[in-house]
Amino acid sequence: MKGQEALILSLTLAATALVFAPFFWILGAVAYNGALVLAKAGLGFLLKRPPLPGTNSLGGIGTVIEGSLLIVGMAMAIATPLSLLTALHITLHEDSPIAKLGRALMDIMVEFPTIVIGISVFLIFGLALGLGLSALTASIALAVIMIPYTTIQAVEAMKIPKEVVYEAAVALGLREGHVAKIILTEGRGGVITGVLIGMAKIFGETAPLLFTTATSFDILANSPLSPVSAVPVLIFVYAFSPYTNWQEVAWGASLVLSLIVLGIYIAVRLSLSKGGLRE
Amino acid sequence: MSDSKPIVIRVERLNVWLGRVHVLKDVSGLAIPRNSVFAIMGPSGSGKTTLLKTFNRIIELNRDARVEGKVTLDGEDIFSMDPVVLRRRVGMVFQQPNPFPHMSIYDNIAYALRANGIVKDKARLREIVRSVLEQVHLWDEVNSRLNSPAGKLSGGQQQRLVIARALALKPEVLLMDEPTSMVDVVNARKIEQLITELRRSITIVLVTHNPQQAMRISDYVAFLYDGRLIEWGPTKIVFSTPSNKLTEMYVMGRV
Repeated sequence: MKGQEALILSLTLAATALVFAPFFWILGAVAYNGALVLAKAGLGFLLKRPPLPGTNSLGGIGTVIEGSLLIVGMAMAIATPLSLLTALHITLHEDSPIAKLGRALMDIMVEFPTIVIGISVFLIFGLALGLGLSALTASIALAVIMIPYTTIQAVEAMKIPKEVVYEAAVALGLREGHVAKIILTEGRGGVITGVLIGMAKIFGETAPLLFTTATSFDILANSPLSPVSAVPVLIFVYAFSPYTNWQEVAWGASLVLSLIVLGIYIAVRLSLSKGGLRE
Repeated sequence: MSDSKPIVIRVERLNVWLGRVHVLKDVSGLAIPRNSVFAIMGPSGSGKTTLLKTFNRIIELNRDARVEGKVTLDGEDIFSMDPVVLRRRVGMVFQQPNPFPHMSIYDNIAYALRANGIVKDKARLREIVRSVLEQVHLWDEVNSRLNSPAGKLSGGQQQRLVIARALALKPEVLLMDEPTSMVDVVNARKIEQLITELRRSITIVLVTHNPQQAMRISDYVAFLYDGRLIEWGPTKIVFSTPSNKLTEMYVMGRV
């Protein structure tokens, strides 16, 4: 028996180590190559415009950071209220056909290929409605991707408050809006986590942006309707370019993007440790 | 039943189904006198909680529930009232203490008063919060930490807080579903004492599975068995000379 236990332990340990390996390898490669670029380019890398190809200059990724912040911010502004209202409906009317359909749709949407979402949004909003390759088109694509993540997380976060305090709130003669506010407030730790997870998800999304953003990166978007570029698309285009300085910029941008996403996940962990219902 | 007190709640031909289960079977002739403690006792599954939840229509939160019959509050049919308005007149305390755990002790009481537009003035709100906390004998224990989350209170304190929360809305009737079954002995005694004090100003309908508790604190008692109202009347009479064999067996602890 002891030998069998030792075998199972070593198998599970080996599998776990194997799962860790690519994570640390990717993180190590990005950290090493990215740090070299950032050390060479300095903090100006975060603010300057991208360099001309085939030169010795590294320039920076200021324009694409601005583009990413703009479209992620707009996507969050669209997706957050829609997700929370949908999550509240699913939570408060869980047995109704619309709530059941909503929950099933969210489960399907979360697994939907994001490249298909990108091309569909481009066809509908970019071409048919004439929004073109604009910040608004890109943020709609990202919002469609974010909504199921945030909604599902918010529904889960409100499950315990629904069980614990819903009847109590209704028994106080509160109208549905006030009952909803209590459920949302009681589950706020998990709800904030849901918004942050959605944000982290769309910050690194590349596929839908290939259809909805410009591949010229020296653009400073100044309105929702102006063309925009984004960090993941710059990484994609520069990494495949034949120019050494662009490839270096791609490494630097990869490190910046990884740090942003990691930063969001740390915020998620912190909000989780502070949130959640007390027993 | 030979009492001159006006009747607050009357029940006639009440039938309730939960899905396919016929939970309450033709409950009729029940009349709850004002400013009294009215206990509903019976074994598990006899329909006590379902009857209680019908009085404020919270039973309707269960989509499988179907209710037929007549229940009146001060002569008015509760099923033709706005349920939200009904619930402001008929408060409820549940078996499991259920304060809003992340909300402060103060806001647990003040929230519904503000949200329902009953009190807007801050000084008046503070006055009410203090008065109901004193009423449930909780003020001395929590007055230095009114802004801390209600979830940090002990189970017994939480139960007294939710009683205070319900009382703040000045309901005519307070429904209490086994309010002492999830708290310690000391808090259970405090809550029983509170119930006997409250009867001066409010009608209390108390569900209990404990005949001794019904005998100790109620003025009237109804005995439910398998969804049927077996008998009801002044507590002393029901316990001393029950008119039904089943009631007699129940109060003797043999059912």
